[in-house]
Amino acid sequence: MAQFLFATQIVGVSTEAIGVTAASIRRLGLGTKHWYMKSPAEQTATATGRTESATGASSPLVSYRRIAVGDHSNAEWVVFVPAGDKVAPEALRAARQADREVDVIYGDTRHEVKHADKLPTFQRRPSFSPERLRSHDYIGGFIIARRRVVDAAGGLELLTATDSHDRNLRLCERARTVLRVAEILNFTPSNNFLPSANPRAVQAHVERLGIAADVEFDDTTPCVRVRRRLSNRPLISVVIPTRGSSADLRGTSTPLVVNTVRTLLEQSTYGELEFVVVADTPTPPEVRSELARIAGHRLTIVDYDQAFNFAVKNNIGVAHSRGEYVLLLNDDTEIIEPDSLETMLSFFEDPTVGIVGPILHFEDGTIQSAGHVFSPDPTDMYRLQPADTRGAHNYVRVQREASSVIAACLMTSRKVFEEVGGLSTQFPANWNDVDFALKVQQAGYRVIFTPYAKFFHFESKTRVALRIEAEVGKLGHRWGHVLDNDPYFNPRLQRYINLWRSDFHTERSYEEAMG
Amino acid sequence: MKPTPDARDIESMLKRWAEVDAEAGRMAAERRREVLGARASDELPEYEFGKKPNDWVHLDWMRPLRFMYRNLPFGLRMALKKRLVR
Repeated sequence: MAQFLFATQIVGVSTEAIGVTAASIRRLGLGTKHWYMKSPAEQTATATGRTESATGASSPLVSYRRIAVGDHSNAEWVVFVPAGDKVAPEALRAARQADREVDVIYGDTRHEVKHADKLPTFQRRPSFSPERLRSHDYIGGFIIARRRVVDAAGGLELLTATDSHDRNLRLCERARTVLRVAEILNFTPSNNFLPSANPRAVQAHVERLGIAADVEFDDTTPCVRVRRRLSNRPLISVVIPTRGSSADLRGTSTPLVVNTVRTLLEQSTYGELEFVVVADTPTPPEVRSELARIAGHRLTIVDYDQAFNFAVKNNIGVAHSRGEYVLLLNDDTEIIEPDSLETMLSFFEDPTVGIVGPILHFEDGTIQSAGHVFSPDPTDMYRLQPADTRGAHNYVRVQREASSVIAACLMTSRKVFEEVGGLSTQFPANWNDVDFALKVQQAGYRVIFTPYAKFFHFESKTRVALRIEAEVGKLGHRWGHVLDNDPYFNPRLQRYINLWRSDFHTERSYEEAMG
Repeated sequence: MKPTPDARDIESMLKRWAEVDAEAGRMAAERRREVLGARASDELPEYEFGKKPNDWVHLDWMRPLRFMYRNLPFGLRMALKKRLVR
């Protein structure tokens, strides 16, 4: 039978808060002798049932509640619980039922409200997302870890004294498997839904893992940006399928593909580029000559005279390219952040990354795509929301794993592209990007979304993708199990919408949806 | 940087990718059948309004109970609701 040790930091905590947590532990049928408390400076927990201050006087706050404090070295699991939180029975059940490979467990949180006329709110969390954990502490203060992992990650004393972001990073580094349980594991009186971020903890984390990166604190979100250093500047092949169409951009009729190439050449701070434009036969000669004029020797134009198939056009483009990395780019896009290509490329310093996607905006600045979520139809989250949208728990503002990103602009390595067979030609119009991302993940790579790389996508806001039943069937045939259970979503949240909402009783959870 | 491929290279590259893609698709479909078992369907689920978990509330025989619930004092109603939210 699993044995539990509860660990709580009691700095600046009221007697009432400790009493609440103690009572919840008692209700689980466990004595509070299974409780380790840490107050770094002034108090030291002892096994005598009382805490002693540095001056030798006993603290009434613990002894009053008759809480025995001990460090049970034979406990199999350590439950880190913030003072004032209540532990749900599901937390212990999840630990008891966990596979042997599982070393760390976290789950959802219920935020209690004191007002009688308000319903509780929830923090629903995605499955383990290491890139997101580097950005901010989406896991929060309640986490369960095997004792040996706790010892390997720095020991009980250190992990109880440190802040939750540091603790969660240290524990997850050492875990073989991190399990997300989509159940309420703790109840908290706190009404702070925004994840905290500790840049010093992330700096120490990247140093421990040997990631060559600069760590910056983004205080506007707040979150941490991990900027990996580029070890070299390889050639990026920009593959653009086009028909050479023109459209009104900022009041002027402009050939879209020309604008895409020109702005990339003029504004991007990354110079090692080649352009492979896969041009349909009707592409006007003046567009071709203008492209040749602005891109010169960097340009290859490949003629395409077959029936429309977005996947085939991109595959042909990649086949004609020479770069070590490939940027699949629609002809109606435009770079916004000059260092977007460096930002995306830098993720490939990590060999487990297979695809990186930026945030895309419509011409008026509203969001076009911040990565897909399977709901279960692949959906662009926060589509049509204002440019400054943060999303639930700053979801839109942080670098994180995603199940898929839109192929209007994505970067991948040639190695990964070839390993999974490129875009599947079975999806001529829709979802070739979703299928590609899922194949890449099946091959063991991660898909990353970064808000620090930004592009315009001049797609019509009112465009509704034509739903081709044959493609729906094929996508479901291959990936039905994944679409039904997106790891970076939460099964407790309402589906079929592009704004998260809790699926039960309350309609208020758009802002609180996922931590 | 690799050298510029010729037409034959490109054709064989596209053919090889199509084979790799078919194999990846086969593996995915196999995994889907393992995970979903009898529930495995070749279609994506459609949007169905009627499948919310609180639909039982709207069953016909619940009408008198709903009436009683609506007429409970506010505090009691909220207390009940809070108990039901998971």
